[in-house]
This record gives sequence, structure tokens and C-alpha cells, in this order.
Amino acid sequence: MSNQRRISVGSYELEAGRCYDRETHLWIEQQSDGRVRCGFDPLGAETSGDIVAVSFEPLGNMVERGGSFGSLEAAKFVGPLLTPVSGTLEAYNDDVLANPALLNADPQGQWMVEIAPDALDRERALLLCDEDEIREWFLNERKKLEQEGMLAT
Amino acid sequence: MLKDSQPTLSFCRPIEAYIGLGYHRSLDELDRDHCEKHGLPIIRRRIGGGPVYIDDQQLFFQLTMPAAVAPARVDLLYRRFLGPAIDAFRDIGLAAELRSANDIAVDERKISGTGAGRIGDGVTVVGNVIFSFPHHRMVEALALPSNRMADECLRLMQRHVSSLAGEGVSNTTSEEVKQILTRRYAQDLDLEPQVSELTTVEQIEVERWSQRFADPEWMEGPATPRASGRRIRISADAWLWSTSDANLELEASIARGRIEWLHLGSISLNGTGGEICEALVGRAADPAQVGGRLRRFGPQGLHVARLLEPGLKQQ
Repeated sequence: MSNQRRISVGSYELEAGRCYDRETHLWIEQQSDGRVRCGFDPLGAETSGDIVAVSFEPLGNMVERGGSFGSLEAAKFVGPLLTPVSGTLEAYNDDVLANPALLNADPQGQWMVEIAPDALDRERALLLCDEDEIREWFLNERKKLEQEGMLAT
Repeated sequence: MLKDSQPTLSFCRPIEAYIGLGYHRSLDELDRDHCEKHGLPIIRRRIGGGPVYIDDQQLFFQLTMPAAVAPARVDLLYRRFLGPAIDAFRDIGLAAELRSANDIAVDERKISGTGAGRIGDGVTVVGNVIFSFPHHRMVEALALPSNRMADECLRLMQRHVSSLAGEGVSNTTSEEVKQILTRRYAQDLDLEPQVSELTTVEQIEVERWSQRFADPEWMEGPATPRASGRRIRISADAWLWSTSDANLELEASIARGRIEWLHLGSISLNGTGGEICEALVGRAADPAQVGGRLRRFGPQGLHVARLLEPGLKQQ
């Protein structure tokens, strides 16, 4: 990850070469074997609070874009993790399962699940993959969340 | 819940006692034999947190709203939607305030357990009003590594978990509390309360979830890795920590930023266990300070630090 280019947005740095989901603040990154890794972007991690637990649907399960691939807990809040892409759950990040706080500490470096996508070409169009579009969206999101008091200014 | 649905405030009060278990928590945290022997069903809930004893002396209030209107940030969700509950506690005569992200407390005593969850397209914030609380029954239901730890758990719980009765409020009825909460939430949301019963669709969902709660697969819970230590959170400011390895068994309590109690069971500390406890108990639970105090004990000190430090962080 550290060798990848980054997109600077204020004090945040996003990995380039990834696509970002506007609804869930999750990123996806396609691996050389075609699988897609999925993790939180920095705003997603920050607004989630201190994550104390994550759990994932069983490996081999099919997930549809917008459906749950697992759940997350922070400050006694439990919410679903909604997948940006459809496909089959192929792997978990065991480090994140054992230490969910890694998602807060290093959201760009920590993936949660790997999915074998089955409609990536179509669904990629619903995500932000262009660097300029990502920068503009993230900047606007950051401003919006700051105005709503959701982020430290 | 539809995107344009109005928030719904609902109340429920259990008829019989049971143990509620947070969504991600392990059944192993409970003494299941004790629960069965005493007729305490165990129910895994949809929201988070640890195991709790629930009985007819607790009134639950739940505010459900479309997810789109709920703050994305969890601490702000609580601050926004527990505010009316805190006002209601003040109306009852308690100097309630929000502590940490989501504890409603009077001074250092938690008086309401709260939690939240996103379920479908809705977000629910839930809390309870505890009329009285049998601390010992709560402790008895927990699977704890030793009687020492059970005693310490009870001591901390009696100090940090309170109730209306514990705060000297004994003349407020459940119906009065409902009215006060309804008034406060209606004022805050600028809505006129409309009383309604469960719709047919809601009743079907209640039935469906009643069956799901009894499903062994649901009861087992999601697969999560076994933690290296056990944290028993009493309140935002107080918790117990126990862990062990092949050579050392460690039990501790931390409250108000200090290590209040420490037990070290070991044959590997070369008689320094008492001195180590003396160096730490009553002192700050800050990991750097703890590490500094343990340095003079050499390898034994490092060993204790390694097991103790994960339990010092507030969660």
C-alpha cells in the first residue's frame, strides 16, 4: 500500500487506484487475481466511532450491492456493513477481526473482506474511480460533515 | 421503516427476568448453568454491549427513526437522541448527564443502560429506566474466573450502577416515567405525540423475531475470534480485566482512571507479586506510567505489563 500514489484532500490522504462508494464510505481495490478488497475510507472510519467488534457473513455467501456483508459495533451501536459490489465473500482480514481498532487507526491500510465480484463492470459505474471526482466528492463530504459537527474542524 | 416515516417512541417492560447479551458477545461470558437453574432465559439482542440482567423493574424506551435522519457519527447520535431522556431524568429529580459516548449517569453512577442499532432502513436508540437493580443477580449470571473477581465485580457494580430507588426516588411510577419521556421527546422533536398500537405488519415482525431469538444459530452469535483477555465493563469509568498465559494469571479493576484492585497468581514472579501490586494499586492506569513503575521489577515487571496493558484502555 505504501508504494501507491495518494490523493491529498486537506489533511486526509486517499489511496489512488481505488474506487470509493459515496453511500457507505467504503473503498474497493481490485487485486491481481480479480478479487476485490473492501475497507473504510478515512471519513467512514472517523464517523463510525471507536470500533470494538466486527463480524462477517460466512465465506462463500453471495452478497448483493447494498446488502450486508457483516456488522460493526462501536459504543454499543451495531450497524450493518453494506457491500459496494456484488459477488461471493472469499476472505476476511483476520487482523481486523482480532483487532477491530485497526480500522480506526489505519483505514486505508486495512481491508475487511475480499469479494469475487460478479458485476464489477456494471457496478464500478456507480462508484467514484476517477481521481478528480474522488477529490471533489471527498472534499465536499468533509465540509458537509464538518458543518454538521460530525468531524473535528 | 420508510424514509419519510415519523420517529416512533415505544416502551416495553419485561414480565419476567432474563439475560440480554450484546450482538457480538460470546455466550461463554455467561454462567449458563446458573441461568438455566434460575430460570433466566438468555436473549441475544440486535444492539451492542455486554451481558445485562433485565427484569420487570426496568422500563425500556426506544426511539426509532429513518436511518437518513440519524447522525452518521455514533457519539452524535447518542448526544442528539439521549438528550430528551436526560431531561426526563432531570424532571424526575436526578442530576443526570451524558458520560462518555452513551452512559446516562448521576455523578459516577450509571442510571440508564443505552445502545443503538441500524436495523433495515431504521435506526433505533434504546435506553432503560431502572427502578431498582439486583446487582448480585447480575454478577451471579456472569461466568467469572474466580470468586475474587466476582466479589470485585459486585463491589464495582454497586458503586457504579444505580437505579431510581438507589438514588432515593421511589414514588415515580412506570406510567409517570412514560409520560415524562413522551413529553420530552415530543418537545425535542417538535411533534405532537400520537398514541398507537403495533400494526399487523409490526406484529408479524415481532413474531418473526421472537422465533429468530430462539434459533440456536442466532443464539450462538456471529463468529468472532476468541479475545486474549476478558473485559467486564461496568460503566464508562469502571471495568474489570482478566487474562492469563502459561505462567501468570492476572485480574484487575480500573475505575476513575486508577487501578483499584490487582491480583497476580503466579509461580514465576519470584515473590515480587505483592510488591508489584503495591506499586500499581491506587495509582494511575495510564499505560506509560504503569510501564514505568514496573520497569524496576525486571522481566517479572515486563511480564505483568504485557498482560495488564490491553486492559487499561477505556472502551
